[in-house]
This record gives sequence, C-alpha cells and structure tokens, in this order.
Amino acid sequence: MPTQYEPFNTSNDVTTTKTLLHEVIPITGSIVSGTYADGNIKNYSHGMFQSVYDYPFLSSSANHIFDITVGYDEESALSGAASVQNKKKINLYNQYAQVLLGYTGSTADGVRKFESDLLNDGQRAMKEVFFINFSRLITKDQIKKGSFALSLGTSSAFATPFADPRLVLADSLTTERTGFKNEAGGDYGVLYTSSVGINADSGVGNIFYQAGIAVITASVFNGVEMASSSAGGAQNVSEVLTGSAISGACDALRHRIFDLSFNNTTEINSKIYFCRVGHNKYNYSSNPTYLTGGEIRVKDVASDNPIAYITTIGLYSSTNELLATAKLSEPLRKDPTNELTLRVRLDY
Amino acid sequence: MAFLDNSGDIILDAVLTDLGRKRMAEGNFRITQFALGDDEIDYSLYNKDHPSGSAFYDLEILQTPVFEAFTRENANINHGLMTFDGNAGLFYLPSLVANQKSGQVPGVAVKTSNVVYLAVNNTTYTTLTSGTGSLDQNSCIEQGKTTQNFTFETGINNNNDPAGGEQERLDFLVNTGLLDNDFTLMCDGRFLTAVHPMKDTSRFRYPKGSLSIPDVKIELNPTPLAPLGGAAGVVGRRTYILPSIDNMVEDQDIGSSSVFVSAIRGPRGRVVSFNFGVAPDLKASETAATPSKFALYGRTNLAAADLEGITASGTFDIIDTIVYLNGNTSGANTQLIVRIIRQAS
Repeated sequence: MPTQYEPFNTSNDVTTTKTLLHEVIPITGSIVSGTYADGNIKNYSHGMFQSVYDYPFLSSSANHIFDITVGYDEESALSGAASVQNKKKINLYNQYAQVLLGYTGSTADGVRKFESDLLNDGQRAMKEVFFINFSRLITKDQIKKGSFALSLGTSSAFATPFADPRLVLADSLTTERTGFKNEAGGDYGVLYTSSVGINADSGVGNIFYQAGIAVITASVFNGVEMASSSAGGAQNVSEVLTGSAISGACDALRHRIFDLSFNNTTEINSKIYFCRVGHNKYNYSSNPTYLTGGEIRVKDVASDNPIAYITTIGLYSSTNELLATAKLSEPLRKDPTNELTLRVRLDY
Repeated sequence: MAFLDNSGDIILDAVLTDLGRKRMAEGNFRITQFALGDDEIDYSLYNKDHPSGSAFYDLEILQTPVFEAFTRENANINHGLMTFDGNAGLFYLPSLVANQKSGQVPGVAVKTSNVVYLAVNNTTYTTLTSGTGSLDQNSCIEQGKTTQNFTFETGINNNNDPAGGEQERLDFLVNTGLLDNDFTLMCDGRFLTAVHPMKDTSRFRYPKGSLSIPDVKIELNPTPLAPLGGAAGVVGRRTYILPSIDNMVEDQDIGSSSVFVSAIRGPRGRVVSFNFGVAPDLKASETAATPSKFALYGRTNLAAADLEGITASGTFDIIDTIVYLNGNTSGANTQLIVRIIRQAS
C-alpha cells in the first residue's frame, strides 16, 4: 500500500458533469415477425401481453426488446360482453392510462384517456389502442425526443401487408425543448403520420419517452385485413380487437410492423478528479526494483534527476481506503522537469 | 486481467473497487486524496549503458504493458511513488531488512528456507525446539511470547558505502527526512489475530569502537495492539501501526561478521520488533481435532521430512501466510512468510 497521499482541493480539483449518450436502435420488422418463425415470441398463460425477443427466447443469447398488448376504454364501441377477453382489454387500457396520464378527478370516469394531441381536454380520445412497451435494455434512460419512427404496412390485403407505401408514425413535432408534455408517466409527444400531412388533427398515437411506451390508435388500420382466419375469412381491426384474444391482436400488429427505430438516451453523471502532480512531487518510488543495494537505479550521481514511472492512480478516502483505481495505458515518466495533471473520470 | 491498448493516445481506465462500491451502497463514498503507483515497472530495465544514448535509457520501461484496473483493494498499488520534501538530490534510499543475528539479538526470529516457523502452542514449540526437533528458539517462535520477536531494521544497505557511522546517519537519513518513526504491518487476521509491539524501553545500540559491547534489548508489550479500522474490502486483512526505536548501531565492521548486531551495512535508521498471536481456533492441542483452517488454507498431517529444517517425530499442520511491512516515511517495504505450525500427533 502507498504511504504518501496527495489531498484533493475540492474547489479546484473536483468537478461534476452530465453527459447524454445516444445510440441508434433500429429494429427491422422481419425480426418482429418472420425471421425466427415466432420462436422469438413469448406468449403467457395469463394472456395479457406478448413479449418479443431478438432471438428465440429459449436461447441464453436472446434479449428482450419489447412487449405488445392491446386495450380499449370501457366507453369504446368495441367494449362488450361478447368480446374475447373484454375485461382484460379494458383493464389494460385503464392500467396504462392511470399510470401514464393519471386521473381526471371526476368520479364518473376517473382515468384519463389517451388523446391524439397534447391538450388533455377529452377531445380526440383514442379509445382503442395498441401498446408497445420497449425494454429498458434498449431504451436505457429514455427515448430521445424527436427520434421515434414506426413504419407500418397498411396495404389492405393480409398476405401483402407492405405492398402500398407504408405509413410512418413519427414524433415529428417534438424536439428536446418543445412539442411534448409532462404527465404522470413522464414526458410524452404525439405520433403523427405524414400521409395526411402533419397537423394537429393527424395525431395517431403517443410516445412516452421515459416510460418507453408507444400508444398507437387502432384506427390507423381501418380498412386493413388485420388477420386471416381460416374459419371466418379476413378480419378487420375491430374484429381482431373484439374477436381475438390479446395474443391474436398482438400477432396482427406484428404482421404489419415494417421496421421501427429511435435513439435511446443514457444519462451519465460524471465526477472528474484532477490529480495534479507538481514538479517536485512523486519523483521517487518505493518499488523494490527501484534500488540496487541502497542506490537509486536511475541515477549515476546524486545530482541526476530522480525518475519514476506512473502506471496507476488510486483514489482514496480520508481513512486511506482505496475506493477507485485508474490505470494509464502506458507508463508515464515523472521527474522534476515536468508537472502532470491526470484527469480521472468516474461515471455514475 | 487484460492489458490496456497502448497503441495510441494515453488513456485512463477507471473503476470503482469492491470497497468503493460497498461504501457507495452505504452512502459513505467520499474521495479526498490520491496516490500514485508503479507496480508494473521493473526499474532494473533502466539501461544507463544503452549504446544509443540517454534518450533510450528508459525505452524498455516505457514499453511496459499495463494491466487493466483491478477491483480488489489490495491489488492495485502495493508500492507507491514517493516525495521527500521536494528533495531531488537523494542518491540512496533506505531498505527494510529482517534482522537474523540470532547470536547478538536475543530471541530474534530466523528464517528456515525463507519461512519463519510460528508455533501455535507451547507443546508444538517444545517438540520443535527440543533436542531432536532441530529448530531452536530463533528458528521457531512461539505465538504470543514476548521474549521472542520478529525484528526489522531500516537503513542504507549498500555494503558500507556510505559507512554506518553517526555522521552518515545524520547526513543520509535524519537530515533527509528518511527516518521511519512508525511502520504499517498488514497480515491476515484469520490466522494472526494479535500483534505485540515493542516497548520504548527497548534498545538497539552498538557504539563505535572495538572496546564497546552491543547494548541490545528487545522488549515486547504483552498487550497486543488494536488494528486500524477500515480496509474491510479485503477479507481478513488487518492493519497495524507499529512503533519503532532508533537504530544506534555504528560502524560494526570490526572483527568477524559473525559478531555483527545489525543486518544493515551502512547508515542505520530505525528498528521495529513484534510478535504475533494466532487465532484461538488454531491453538488446538494435538489431542484435539485438527482445526478446519489448516485443511482449508494450509496442509495437514505432514511428516517432518516434508518440512524444511525439522527432524522431530510426529506430524504437523501448517498454514503459510505473508506479512507485509512498510516504513511510513521512507516507503521502505518488505514481506515475510510466516509458517504457522501445529503439532498434530
């Protein structure tokens, strides 16, 4: 253990910084539906949602990328006792709404509804929606605002979902500074589709940046064969939402995802320690090889400059406990003719 | 642990140690100071005879690959870089040397094949030091005994260049600030649970002159030292700060080396002595079951033929443990292998 320590001047030698690190996350639709013949899709016995992995999920190499589920409000026209898993679909809608938007304060209908704008005025409610919950593994701390794009195939025929120009849902009006609102579930923006021009009326969903949840109105699939039932023929989106289990509706959505991408955000808080080594400091070593007999190896005569080589910086508590270590990639010569400032950054 | 990429710019690879993470979890993470280390460097590679000139003297040293950072607290800086009051003119630095002068230093521990035997109980000690045991009261130390000691000296051990006189002591050690008033001892507290320091009534003198006689008295305190707090990140490690006394042996190069008192040949600095107490569970007599630590960390039921320097009949359990000793001012340091031995039958 070292016997000499250099104290930090906390006002001059230590500083804190915050850095936002972004990564591009592109997810191709063939991963979501096709490549692994659904071996990467996990359904659960409770039937509440479906998980999508980037590789067959029985493999230890598989990473969870997102979950899909559907829901509708109890005031939706699709809500009815005859609908398959009706209660669960209502419960899911309410669960997402109460966590992400909160409550209205009204006893009549206490939970806010998703809206295709930022007003929260009860207008333009999206009462039947698909939910995509992205894994924290890929969103990290949050989705970068203005970076989300989901490309959907909306050709009418089930067999050729991507034949027509695709519908791109993007948070086009959101930037890091504007175009979003903060609610119970964090910041959220509106997803617009460019097919009808981007304006206040063209919102088709929400993207919750910190929660990593995309909410997409089912109406984007109006006029589209969402499923092909051998018994009942083609099903439109309303029929899928009422006549299929949640897993079936999730299958239908996956079938229409061409690709999606966003930038994630990792917030790195750093503390930087400036280790200042003066010209007359740390020019000797207690390394056992430093001496031959009692003589310093790097000197011929006493007037020669002492030399030491730094490979390691130890950061210590006041009781000399080693709390962090930094290693130089190559030895650094220290002698009385030079002064060094070694910048050690610890990320949290 | 891989090497760091040293093909481009100099980079720093920083990690929290195990203890740092623990302190962070406890909310006690506060860095207040730093130290510098050079554990990878072999200074013998400094080639002052390089045919291409002085710019190439440290070529090999600068090409030394450096390991990635370790997270273990004690695996990073074992030998720190030093500052001596900005004095760039030092040519000699003190070393820390084990005194092995059994004829002149009463009760001093002497190595046998690079280890010192530390008997866990009196039965073991008596067996090993009896007529047929082949060890004696210097090559076998009984744990907790204050009349036996491990003794180390600091000084410039350079074959009497400079000489070991009083003036040289002043010039090369006292006036240069290289005297160690105290020492840091680190040992494995799973095995060595007590350290008996020396009393300040101890003496280590041999005044100059052929008619003088050595005045050496090592007295240990029967009350063990309390270990320092902290350093909980390393399993079992205990740290002690040991007091020392002046080494006032002067110019002893008179007569045969067999009568030398000091292990240092040159100006002498300080003397530190101590003895250990072993963990209570290791002291079990030969009639009791073998303590589990011997099986876990050492070897059991060894015959004398398997142990260097021992001819006693019976079998023995052993644990080898390393003790680290540092001079707190000069940074002089050394290690000692202590072989804890118990008679098993």
